[in-house]
Amino acid sequence: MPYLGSEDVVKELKKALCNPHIQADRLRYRNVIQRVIRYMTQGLDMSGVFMEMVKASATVDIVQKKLVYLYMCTYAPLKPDLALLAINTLCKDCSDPNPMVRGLALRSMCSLRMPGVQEYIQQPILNGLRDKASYVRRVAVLGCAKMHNLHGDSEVDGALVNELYSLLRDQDPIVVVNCLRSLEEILKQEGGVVINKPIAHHLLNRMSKLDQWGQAEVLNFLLRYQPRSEEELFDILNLLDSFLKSSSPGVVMGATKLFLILAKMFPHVQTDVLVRVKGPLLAACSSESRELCFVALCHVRQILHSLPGHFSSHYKKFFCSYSEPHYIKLQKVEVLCELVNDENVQQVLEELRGYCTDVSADFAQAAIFAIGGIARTYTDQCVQILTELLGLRQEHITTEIQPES
Amino acid sequence: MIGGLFIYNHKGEVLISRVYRDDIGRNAVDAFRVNVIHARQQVRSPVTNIARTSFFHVKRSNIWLAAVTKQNVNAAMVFEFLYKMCDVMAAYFGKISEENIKNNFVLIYELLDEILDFGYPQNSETGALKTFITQQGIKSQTKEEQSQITSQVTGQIGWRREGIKYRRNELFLDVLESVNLLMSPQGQVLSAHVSGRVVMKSYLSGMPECKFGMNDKIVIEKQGKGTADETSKRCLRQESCGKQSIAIDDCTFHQCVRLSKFDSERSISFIPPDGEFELMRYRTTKDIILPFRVIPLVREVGRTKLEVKVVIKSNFKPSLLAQKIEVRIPTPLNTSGVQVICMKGKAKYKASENAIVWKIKRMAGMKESQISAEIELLPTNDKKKWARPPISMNFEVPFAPSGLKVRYLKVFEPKLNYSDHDVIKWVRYIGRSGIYETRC
Repeated sequence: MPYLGSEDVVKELKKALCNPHIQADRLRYRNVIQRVIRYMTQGLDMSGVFMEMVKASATVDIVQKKLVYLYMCTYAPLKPDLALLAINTLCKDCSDPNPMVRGLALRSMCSLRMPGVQEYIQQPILNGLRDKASYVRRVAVLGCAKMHNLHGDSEVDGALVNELYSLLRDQDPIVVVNCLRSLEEILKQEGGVVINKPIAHHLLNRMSKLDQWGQAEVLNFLLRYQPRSEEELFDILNLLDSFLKSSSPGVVMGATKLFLILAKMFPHVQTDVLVRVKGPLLAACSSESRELCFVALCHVRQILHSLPGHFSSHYKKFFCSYSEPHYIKLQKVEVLCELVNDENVQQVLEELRGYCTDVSADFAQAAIFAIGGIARTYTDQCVQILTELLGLRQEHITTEIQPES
Repeated sequence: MIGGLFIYNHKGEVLISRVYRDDIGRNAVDAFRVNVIHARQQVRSPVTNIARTSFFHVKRSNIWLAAVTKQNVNAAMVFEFLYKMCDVMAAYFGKISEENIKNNFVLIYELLDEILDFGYPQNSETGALKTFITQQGIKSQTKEEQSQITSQVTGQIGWRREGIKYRRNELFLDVLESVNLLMSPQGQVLSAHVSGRVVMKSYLSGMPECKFGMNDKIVIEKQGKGTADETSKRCLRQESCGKQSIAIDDCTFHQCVRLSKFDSERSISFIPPDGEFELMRYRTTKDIILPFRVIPLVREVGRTKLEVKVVIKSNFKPSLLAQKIEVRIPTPLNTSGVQVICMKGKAKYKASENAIVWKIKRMAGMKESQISAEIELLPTNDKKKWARPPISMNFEVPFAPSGLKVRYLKVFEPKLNYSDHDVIKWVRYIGRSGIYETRC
């Protein structure tokens, strides 16, 4: 996107970055660099000051380093020959005594998307995998995945994969989870990381030490593990039961999915699983946060598709409040349609009838459509309601009912 | 995982853009703006799918935060991450506004680098982040500081570091609840629930062990079990004290709470993070004290007038005061004029919102207030019957509608020389209305 006057801006910034007075004053230097980044975010082409930015990377100020590396990662693909100069500083920083600097340099080097960088990254990454600071190990592990991403279809390095598999036993929980993610990406062609019995048990035992992101990821990976015996299945269910009540909604949803998949594999535990899963899911449906409420309702709909009739006794929870947002009300109406049974049909129809005269035409139509759906099983009551609605003679209602009949 | 994260202002201009994956291009930024921010309808679904790409968004005041991905991700986790991102940003620079974002964009890029590496969430605990990402930049650290930071970032107790000292050991407990009600015109409760959180702000030295006790039904029942004599004695005592217990439907705790102890003895014990954190979140649906009862009476006089009378009764101890009370009575779209009479507070007809808004600053418990209104309607040919929206209320009360009472919070720090009695403790209860609707 051409911007008027960007060449002037670049010239001005180039002058400022070369000015020795500014270079001497740490704060002023950092300010100029910040301006470069700001223009970069706005879409201006700042590649003209690449050389000056490379020189700026040789500093002890970590914040300045971060800014410069951010700049370099953005423009390296455009100026690959200049970027190679920057690699020198990065390599040096990978052996800095401060683990934060080591981690930062390694991460930035791995994000340099340009051809020819792989020969320089290999060694620092391998060193990083064995670094004594866990912060650096975390970065190095994901660095393997980034490196693999760059190459596309090059051969998978067997030794590296083995090293990553062994790092699954690392002390630091985030290193372990990053290993899983990395292996998944690297071994994508072969179907991802293999979760065999020892690995699955190891992960299950460490679940409580992971943070919420780690737990959600591990629950996802455990989907591909199949327990060999009844005993093992129940052990797993009991261990993971507490995660259904986790404070993290992501973990709750992940655990719910795992439980339902296990129920599919072993149908005789299905009733038990559904009982355990119902509570947290219903609680999520009335969550204070609209987005999570929406997500939970979508999940409930999915479940009702394959296992109909399960939330029927809780139909009242899906009644719509007037001030709820549109997208939540629509989901709730769909759910009500699916959980109708002999006991609750009267009340559900009453409620849906109330929605048919709602101010919002969209919502009213959705409610009518739902009544039409229920009419397939409970024809008489529905037809009565629909005829009454026709009597109101309101256009948007009439047009919706006619296709129903 | 997350392929890209974008932050826009209310006009749709990009403030922050970070792409983690090659499959997300610059056109994703524009796609979101065109299809969601500038979309025709008022309220958009939080998840939008455009061209096999999923956009998850969250809005804070007038700032849009969007996470983009082409993979099949755990939706709840993405939203949780966006909330965490907002929390972390707020912890650093307060309110999330365009100005704050523009002034701190360097910090935000640092944070995005740190907490979302390659699109995967990493360590996002504000306490840990604050030790090595500061707004002023890190001055060269001494070796000791370095090791302390790395140990906290990877330590056993990730949420609290050793060696914290305060002259005055204090803690504040806030019980924040939101009571939701849906009531039928006949006065029957269709659904009611209270969702609450206990937020603790602790300024305690060392690594104190804390124990939190509340009037949890299960705990009280357990205590009631003993020998037959003891049980009968306790029952008498309980009756005379009028001990009220609450049955919690489900509750979730902060990472620091030892869940095994909760499962076995139902006791909540933990070592708290320094400063503010959310101790627990819970929901109750039984025995809720509904602070207000709304009794509506609507009478149609012919086709040109509507007489409305609404009585609100406060249902709590007379010594307590409810505040910021607002009652919204919806009016039909073809209203021409409204006459309102109310003894307490101020009521105004707001034509733009199609409602009579009645505001009362304060109201004590066990009191009644009434408002009557005469609504004149324009004669219309439109035979559309007005489906009356419910009357909704907003208020704030200084007690917990669920009935939760904090019984104790004991602090043990054996290594330092302060005891439980030396700690200054404050508790307050704030019950707000969530969706509190009475159909009429």
